[in-house]
Amino acid sequence: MIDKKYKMKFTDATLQDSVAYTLVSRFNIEPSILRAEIEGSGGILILKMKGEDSKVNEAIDFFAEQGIETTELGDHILRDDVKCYDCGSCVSVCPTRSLYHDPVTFEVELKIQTCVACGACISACPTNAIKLTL
Amino acid sequence: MGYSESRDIVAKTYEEINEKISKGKAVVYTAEEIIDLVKEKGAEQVAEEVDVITTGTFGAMCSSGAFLNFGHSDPPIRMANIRLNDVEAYGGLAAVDTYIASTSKSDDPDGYGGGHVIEDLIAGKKIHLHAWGPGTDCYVRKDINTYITLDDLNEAYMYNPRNVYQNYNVATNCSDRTLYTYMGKLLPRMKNATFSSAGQLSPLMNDPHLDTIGMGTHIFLGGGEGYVTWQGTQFNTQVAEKNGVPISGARTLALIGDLKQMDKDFVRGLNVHGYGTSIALGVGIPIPVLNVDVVKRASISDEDIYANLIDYSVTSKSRPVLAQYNYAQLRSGTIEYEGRKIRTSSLSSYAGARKVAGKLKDWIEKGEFLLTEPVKKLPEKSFVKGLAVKE
Repeated sequence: MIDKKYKMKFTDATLQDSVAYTLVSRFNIEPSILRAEIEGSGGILILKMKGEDSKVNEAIDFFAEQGIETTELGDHILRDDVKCYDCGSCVSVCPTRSLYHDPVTFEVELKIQTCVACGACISACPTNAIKLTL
Repeated sequence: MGYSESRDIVAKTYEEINEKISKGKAVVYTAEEIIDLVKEKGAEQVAEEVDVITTGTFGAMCSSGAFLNFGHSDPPIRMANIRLNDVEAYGGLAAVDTYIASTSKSDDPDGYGGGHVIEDLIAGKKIHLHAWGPGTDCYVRKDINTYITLDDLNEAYMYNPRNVYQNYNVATNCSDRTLYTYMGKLLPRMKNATFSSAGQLSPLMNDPHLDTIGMGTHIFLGGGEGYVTWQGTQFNTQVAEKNGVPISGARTLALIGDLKQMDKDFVRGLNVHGYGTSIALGVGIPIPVLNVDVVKRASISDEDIYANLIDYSVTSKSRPVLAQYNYAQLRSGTIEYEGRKIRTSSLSSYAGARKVAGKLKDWIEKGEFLLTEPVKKLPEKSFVKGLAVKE
């Protein structure tokens, strides 16, 4: 069973494809769309896929053939621990609570697994300590 | 929390405390640690046992900057127009003196300002100095283009007209668009709220009427030693109180400190999106345990310190107070307002405030830092005037 986040990259030619429907009906994968950024020339979709390992891999290959590039999200958000001084300006703007104060140390922690790369924290950080690498 | 005034029972003097510090025998607690100790043993016993309580804060303090003296070049110049890493520094002092202010900003799109210059100086980095002068009979040079480091400077000291605000607002945004303010990023329709005090660790919360802190108080500033030099600008004693502590911005301090002693771990240049540049500083003030009242005041906890929730989408100076919360609620991450939950976060670093109070405690325990008795009390009555726009 795979339960991971991916980035799908669309071109203007693949923009109309119904990814979520295909994932469910053809591969029995449960998709959760976390973020979509679509313009006329293409865009990106951040989604979580939950399903059998083989089905997820098949789906990725299937979309590759359609011209939709799928990559697993890894270190899509980077925090410079030297610049960060744990002020917490990013904490209340993070919609997924991936940036949070440790209740004991009050240091700001980053949970990369739940981050949907929305970028709300970037403009909240006064030391420019956070970067998105998407 | 009621204060029974018992000033006649003086437990200790500055001299006695300093003698213990010098011998490495002083008992020191932080303003956070003292809370539980007082709950456990009572203020009277704590006043007997403890000599010093250290406070700390680490947050944005815009009204900060540093005086620098570059030394004279050959031939010399009277610098009238000065840039440090493209940030404008004040050119109205004597020939090679300047003041670099935290909110002075270069054209760098990433937001580089005076606070960053100060941070880079402390980090030992090379700073580009570019200056122009009128060229006079005594200062013939008209421009200079060189690099300096902190070691090259004759004197470098921070002088901050307003630091360590005693309490401050909690900011939220009732409008439909995101606001970028000095209180940080405020999401529309009250989705979040920000606050900026270290609460129970904050220096002026622990000595709310400045019974022990005054002009000449020896302090921790940016990782080095400094002093309280005057009341800070916008010093206000006329603020409503709850549990003996003001519920909004009240007293402030003007501070001085040696830049050459500072540590970059306690100094950060800031780029507050949509507002401008600033500086975050770690400031710690020791409170001498002279009597029981000192302990009672310093044992105040976040539950007893309140602040006002203010709508920052109102652009006029007098904004209505929406509600009041204590710092335990604010620090929990969520407050409730008219049935809805608002997420909260701090703009000053509580983890950093702990480090400051801890480091100051360490210095005092090791006998490296002595306390000073104020040479002058700061005003007991003072209020803030506005600025009238006159024809």
